[in-house]
Parts: sequence; C-alpha cells; structure tokens
Amino acid sequence: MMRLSILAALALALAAAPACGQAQDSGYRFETKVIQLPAGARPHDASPGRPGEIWYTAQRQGALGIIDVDEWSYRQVPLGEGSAPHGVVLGPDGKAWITDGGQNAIVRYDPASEAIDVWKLPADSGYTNLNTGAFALDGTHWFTGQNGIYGKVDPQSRAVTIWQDPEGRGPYGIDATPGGDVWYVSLAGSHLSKVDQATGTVTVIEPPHENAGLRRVWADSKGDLWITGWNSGKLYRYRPASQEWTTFDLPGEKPQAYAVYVDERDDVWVTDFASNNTLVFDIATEKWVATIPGSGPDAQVRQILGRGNEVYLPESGTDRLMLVTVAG
Amino acid sequence: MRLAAALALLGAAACAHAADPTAERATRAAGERAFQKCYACHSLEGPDPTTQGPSLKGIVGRPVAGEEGFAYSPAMRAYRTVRPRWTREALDAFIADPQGVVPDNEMGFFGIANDQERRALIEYLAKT
Repeated sequence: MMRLSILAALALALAAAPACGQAQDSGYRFETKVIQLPAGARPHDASPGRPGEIWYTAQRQGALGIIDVDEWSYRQVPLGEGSAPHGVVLGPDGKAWITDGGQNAIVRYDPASEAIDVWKLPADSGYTNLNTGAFALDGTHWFTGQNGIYGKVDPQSRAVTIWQDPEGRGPYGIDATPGGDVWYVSLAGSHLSKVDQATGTVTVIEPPHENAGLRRVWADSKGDLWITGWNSGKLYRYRPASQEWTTFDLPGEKPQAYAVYVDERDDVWVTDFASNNTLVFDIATEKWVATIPGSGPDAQVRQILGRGNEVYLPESGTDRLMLVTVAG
Repeated sequence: MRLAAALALLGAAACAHAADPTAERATRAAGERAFQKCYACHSLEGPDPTTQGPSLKGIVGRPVAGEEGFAYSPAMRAYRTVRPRWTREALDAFIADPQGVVPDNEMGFFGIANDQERRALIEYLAKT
C-alpha cells in the first residue's frame, strides 16, 4: 500500500500541466492533460468509470487502473494470477467488464464492493486471446477473441457461450449501435460481422479493399459504422441501412489506422501509428479537423473512448494516458 | 490449471526419459497449447499476408528477419546483425522478454515467463 501511495504521488508530480491545442484551419479547440502511469503497465484500453474516474487496463501488470480525474492520481487493482487484460468497458450495472486474455476469462470489477467476478471461458475453448467487449441493449456482454472466436456472457444466468468466426483468426474490435445491433471486425479475416443475437450466428460483410485488416469499429449516433483499416491505412464508413461503404484517406504516407471512436458530438477519432498522431474527423464536412500528437515517441494509442466532452487516449508505448477535453 | 499439469508432466518426464513417447506427447501437447498464444498473428503454413506477424514455419534455425516480403521493423532488422539466426537459445531469450531482447520491435505480445512452456513451444515450432 505504501508503495502504491508513493507511485500515486509520483504520478501527481509527473502529471503534465494542461496543454491547449487548436487545429490551425478548422478552429477545433481542445486541451490535453497527461498522466504518467506505472512503468511497464502498458495501458491498452480505457473507459469511463464511475463519475470522475477513468478506467484502464494495465495489460502487462494484470490490473485494472483507476484514475481519479480531480486528483489526477491513479491506483491499480490486481485482477488475478496470470491476468493480462486487453479491453475494459463500463457495464450497464456500473461495473468494469474486462476481456482478460491472460486468464482467458471475462472479469468484472465492482467499484463499490471491490469484488471481482471471473467468468472462465469453456474448458474446451483453449486459449482464445480475448480482445474487446461491448454491451447489447438487453445487458448481454458480447466479446471477441483474436484466435477466431466471439461470444457472450449473460449476466443473469452467468452462462458463457462462444462461437467460431466463419473465417478463423482475427476477431478484434466490437461495438453495439444505438439501435442495439452488435457488430465486430476481424483483423486477420479482414471482414465486418453482424451478430444475430438470437442465434449467435454472424453475417459476414467484406470491405472494399482486400486484406484491409479491419482493426476496430465504432457506431455513430445514426448507426453508421466507422472502421479502421490497419493494413490499408484507411478509415471506412459502412452504412447498414443502405449497405454502402465509403472510404476516407488518412493524411500522410503509409498511415496505419488503429483505434477508432465516435464521440458524443459525432466526431470520429482515429489513431495513426505511422505518424504517432490521433486525428479527428468531422462527419458533416468529411474533413480531418484536428491532429493530436502522442505525448512521446511511439505513443501507440490502441483504443479510444470517452464521456461527455472528454476523450481518453491510453498510450501503451509511453505508459501514459492523455485526457483530451474538447471545448464547446 | 491444465497447462500447469501438462508442464509438470513435461518436466518430470523430460528428466526421466528423454525419448519416452509419453514425454514426447506431453511436450507436443504443451507446445501446441503454448502456440495458441502466437496463433492470432503467426501462421505455421508459410507466409500469409493476412496475419500481422511472419510465419513461424521452420523458424528454428531460420535467419532472423528472414521471411521474404515481410515488413520487419527496423529494430528486428538491426537485431539480425547481432543474431543472424533464430537458434533455440535466441528464440528462448526472445520469447521470454521480446521487448527486452529486441527493444522497439513491433510484436504486441509480452512473452512467456514460464521456462518449461517456452521450451515446449520451441520444440513444437522445431517440428513445423
């Protein structure tokens, strides 16, 4: 506990003062603030937590990180032996739902009682390389495993069910639309999948570019899907209503589009590993309106999420998390 | 738990009878299971443009950064100048601590800490 307190104090000392930013031509204004997390934590994903909190997965340290935004300090909660958490999302029950590749389990952390529930995947599933989770409107937690599976946890019955992706290895990002549909993308399989939540089967939809390497997916307020192509370096929009794909180029040469998130203003956030930037795309004008550099070289922001006018950029390459506060 | 049991069996069997078929089966099972941690990004069937990492087919003894057409990181290409081939020893060290051995390489996997699990994996890969 003493060591944790020292670390927390150190984090406070190292926290960068807020920095202001404004895209030169668009007028897009924001502030950034960076917190230094434990060396080697490798924060992979982040999520809103309880009000005033940001959660992150300390993938290499087997812990859930909890950042107090007001205090600008953190603490980490160990998740169990062998834990290597990849994704975390805030469940409708107010708890942190974690896709824990190391434990091959869905792990739930209750911030009120600090209780941890572990749903091991079925014994015959083998190591699935659990990736990311999302909630359907009925409270079912759907998740992906990069070794070629997707599945669900029913919080009521506590049953865990998994299915094989029809094209094998690759299931990665997953999201639910405002209308309640659940979609995921496959990195190695390079496809988009819509989950039939009643039967568990999926409909596979191919992107416009072969081997685009679809990494993550996020729905906007209208239910359009925004998808990153890691291999193609493109941002895609798939409109389920019309089954149309639209492609948008990232700036620069040979971009590597990793994370994507649509904020509550319907702006699309994308990370580009090649330029070490996070980019903001305006849906209405279809233009890039802001560029936010990593806080250090090879920041490697692998996921983005936020709440209100806050956007969280966990930097797995620098062991930091950048909080972006958008003005207006 | 199953992995721990398999590794325990592997360790015990390896001490007793190096050529024991039971031990070999245990090694293969443990190695195959360990490979599942690599499977999402590495094929065993030769170069595959859909996977994020190079194929591990024939990796034991292969030149470092040696798959033709694969876009290796500068870090891995530099490592080739000090370690020309993936010997068992080089693989063991790399799998134990990928970022420690080749800083700034682009593999997202943190490695395997368990000695026996690494040995089983390398034995498994040696037979591909």
